[in-house]
Amino acid sequence: MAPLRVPKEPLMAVTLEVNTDLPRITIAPINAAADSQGSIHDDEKAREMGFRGGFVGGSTILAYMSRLMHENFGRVWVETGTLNGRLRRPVYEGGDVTVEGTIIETPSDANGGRVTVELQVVTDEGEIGAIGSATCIPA
Amino acid sequence: MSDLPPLNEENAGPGTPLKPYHVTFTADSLAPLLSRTGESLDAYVYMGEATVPPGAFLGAYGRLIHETFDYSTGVHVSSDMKVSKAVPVGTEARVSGEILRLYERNGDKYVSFMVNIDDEAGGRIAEVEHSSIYAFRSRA
Repeated sequence: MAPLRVPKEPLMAVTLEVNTDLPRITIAPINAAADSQGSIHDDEKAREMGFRGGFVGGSTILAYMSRLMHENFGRVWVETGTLNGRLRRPVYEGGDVTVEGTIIETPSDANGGRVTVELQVVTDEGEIGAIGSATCIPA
Repeated sequence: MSDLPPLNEENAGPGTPLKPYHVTFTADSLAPLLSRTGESLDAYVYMGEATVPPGAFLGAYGRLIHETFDYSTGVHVSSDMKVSKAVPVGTEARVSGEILRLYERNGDKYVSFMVNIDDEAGGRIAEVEHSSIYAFRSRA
């Protein structure tokens, strides 16, 4: 049976087949909360705690995963998406990160018609900043 | 000095409600997030209407926890989000939630809490189970 394809809305068509890698995206992280004194985003506080500098916000890192899902699944991501994201290591401003996704489960009656994508955010030093999985119900 | 109570086992047991707030997802309020993720709201236009990017729901926890408790140095460790429906930009929402659990791992103290995002009619837009470290073990 030919693999299902998500309609081309809005950005690209995805072949719904296990082990399909989604097109990667690369983003330059921005620490938008750097001036939040005393927080982990504050360079001085983070260094005092033994880190290299202020962390880029975790919700921003996980939102990169949301972007990847949206670019590949479009409206159904906005309507039916789920995301389980785990932040593994600090991500700092000043380098790029790559967001990667691989389809690990295709829609079936047993899983409520959901496609499942395994996700990770990798720094340009090769460290995994976040891992996760996301699902949505393709049209 | 904050007048809010500290986030600890005494003040934040399971079921403790978090101070709800109202928010309107406008193009202006979404712009900083979209700038950080490298996106444009144009990509979220469906049937001629801009919809709120789900990434916006991931950050809704901040006001909820920081307007209920006093703690400054937290580290976000996970979010489990479920979107129930797409909503147009301009939607007004009520953000509420409660503490689910406090726990300790390797000497660091964690908090998990629910973030419920509902429209003004009470319909669920999205929910997020958020976890953060709220107190670190001594690393000296």
